[in-house]
Amino acid sequence: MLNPDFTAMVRGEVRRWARGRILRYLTGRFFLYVVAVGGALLYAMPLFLMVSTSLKSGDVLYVRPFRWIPETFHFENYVQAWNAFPFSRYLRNTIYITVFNMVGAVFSTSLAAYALARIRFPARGLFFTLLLASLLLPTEVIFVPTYIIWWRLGFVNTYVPLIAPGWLAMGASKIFMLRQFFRTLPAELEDAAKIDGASPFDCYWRIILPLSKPAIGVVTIFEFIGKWNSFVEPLIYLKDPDTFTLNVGLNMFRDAYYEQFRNMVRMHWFMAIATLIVLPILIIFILLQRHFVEGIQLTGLKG
Amino acid sequence: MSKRLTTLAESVLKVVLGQTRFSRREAMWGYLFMVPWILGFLVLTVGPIVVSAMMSFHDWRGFGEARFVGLHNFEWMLTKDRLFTKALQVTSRYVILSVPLGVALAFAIAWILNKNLFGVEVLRSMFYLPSVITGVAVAFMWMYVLDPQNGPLNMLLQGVFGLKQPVPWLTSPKWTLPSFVLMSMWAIGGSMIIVLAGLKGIPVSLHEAAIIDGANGWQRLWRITIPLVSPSLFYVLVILTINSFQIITAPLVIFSEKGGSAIGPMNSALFYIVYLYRMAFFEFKMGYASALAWILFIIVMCLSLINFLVIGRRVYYEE
Repeated sequence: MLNPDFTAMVRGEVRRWARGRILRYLTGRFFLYVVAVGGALLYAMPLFLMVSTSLKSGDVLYVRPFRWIPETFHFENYVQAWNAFPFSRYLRNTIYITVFNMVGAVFSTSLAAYALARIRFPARGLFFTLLLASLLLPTEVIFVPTYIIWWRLGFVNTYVPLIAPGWLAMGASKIFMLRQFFRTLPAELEDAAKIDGASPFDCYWRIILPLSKPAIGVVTIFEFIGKWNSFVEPLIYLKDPDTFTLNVGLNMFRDAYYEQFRNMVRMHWFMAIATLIVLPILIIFILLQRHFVEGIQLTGLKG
Repeated sequence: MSKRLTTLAESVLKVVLGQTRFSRREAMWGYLFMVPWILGFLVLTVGPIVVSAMMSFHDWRGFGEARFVGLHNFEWMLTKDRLFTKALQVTSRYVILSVPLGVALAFAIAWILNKNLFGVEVLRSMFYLPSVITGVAVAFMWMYVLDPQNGPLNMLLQGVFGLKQPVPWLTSPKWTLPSFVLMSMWAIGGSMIIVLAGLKGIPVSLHEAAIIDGANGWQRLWRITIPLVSPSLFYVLVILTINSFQIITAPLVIFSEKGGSAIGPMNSALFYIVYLYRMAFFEFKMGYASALAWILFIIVMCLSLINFLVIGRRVYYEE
């Protein structure tokens, strides 16, 4: 039998220790939340400001004190800005380029990925090494010589230089991602089909593609975002204003309504168009964000 | 013809790669599947590298005949062209600032998001979303947010944090680079997701064992978390290094004032690719631009090599 005084002492000691731990845990949690939520709000701030400015009326843009949410929502800004410039045409052009790229990229990258994942042929390892090496070479570095090649081939001022990369499986990261995904699928599925006389194309078309919808979806999304946002390529290849894309158009729009660098009284219009350009990506992101995260985690590659 | 080529390639590669037998039918399918990529690789990757190597010894204005000038382009670049030096300076400063900061920030955010917070999915999306939005719209957004006189960021800094003077973002040569670093930090979400995936792969049992052995949080961070996540961090480092050389849209859009020739105050936003772009499409010095492209190509390759040799060795891989 222990001395009751001693037991009480131990108990008090334990309680004090536990209280200290809990207190420290709680303060730690508190600071984590403050930093996480504060940071997330800071990250959301620029986009929020873009939308809120797009809804302000032109004469209160730079009024102090600054208003985070406009007093009245001026949705007519969107209509006015959209109609002040041929944005409908730019939208059509952008959709055209983007959709053609998406279709091409899905086929060309998944074919290459399937060959690299499943078909045995000489020099496969070499091809795969070259593919990974091309990951380290950003297209921006070689865009001038690429332009020279397209110019020599006579395709400047057409959509060919903008669409061909999609059909020619440019995008090593996409091929790599699909290859990784295809390799996770059990090989027995195709073995059975091969015994029945199916060609590799049958296996790819009838077995692998239907099973790979999530991975194909990720490739489609990344291709969409890449082409939708692309600016420099359309800028250098398209000379005819009728063929411009939304990004090039927005840049021209600014030049057309340009007063002075520090006095941009049409900011609400610019922000309205910017919001409209960002909107499709935002919607896709919110609807499909699980796929975004999975796609990146599958390979550790982005866009 | 193609059969003979295949046989030839097969026999050559059998020697080169030491491969044994392949089913010829299957191999044919393999090459057939690779055709788009091979074409693209030849025309859009190898082609440009070869073309720029050739063009870099020529003077070509984008029309007419190209004139062979030997090493003149490189000589001019390295000895006379002060804008080249400036572009190199601006870009290297940007890379040195934004890459380590980016890796650190990606890790910090991922580390916090890995702490089982309530509503972590929403927080993760909020940090990740900016990285999928790029292009002209975002450049416009920053032009507005960073406006020194009336921009919301300065109002926030002055109103909430009591800053006396407005920060001259984008208008003072000193502040241009920090502005672009700020933009790149805003778009760090993709890297963060990669690190987060790495963190999720660390077995909890390791941390539990360390706690039992009396390791505190700091020790666990340095002895367990960072070594085990180092492959992801290394990957992010390589990608960020390459990507940070690609910056062009934002400086081009923000500073493409009508008739202006400088990119940013005192050319402080003259990033390498922007300079390349201006050389090629404003001054039509295609040969010189090709020489510039080749130098950049070599720089990027060297940096990747250094990354792999110096830092890649320290990365911890589980046996």
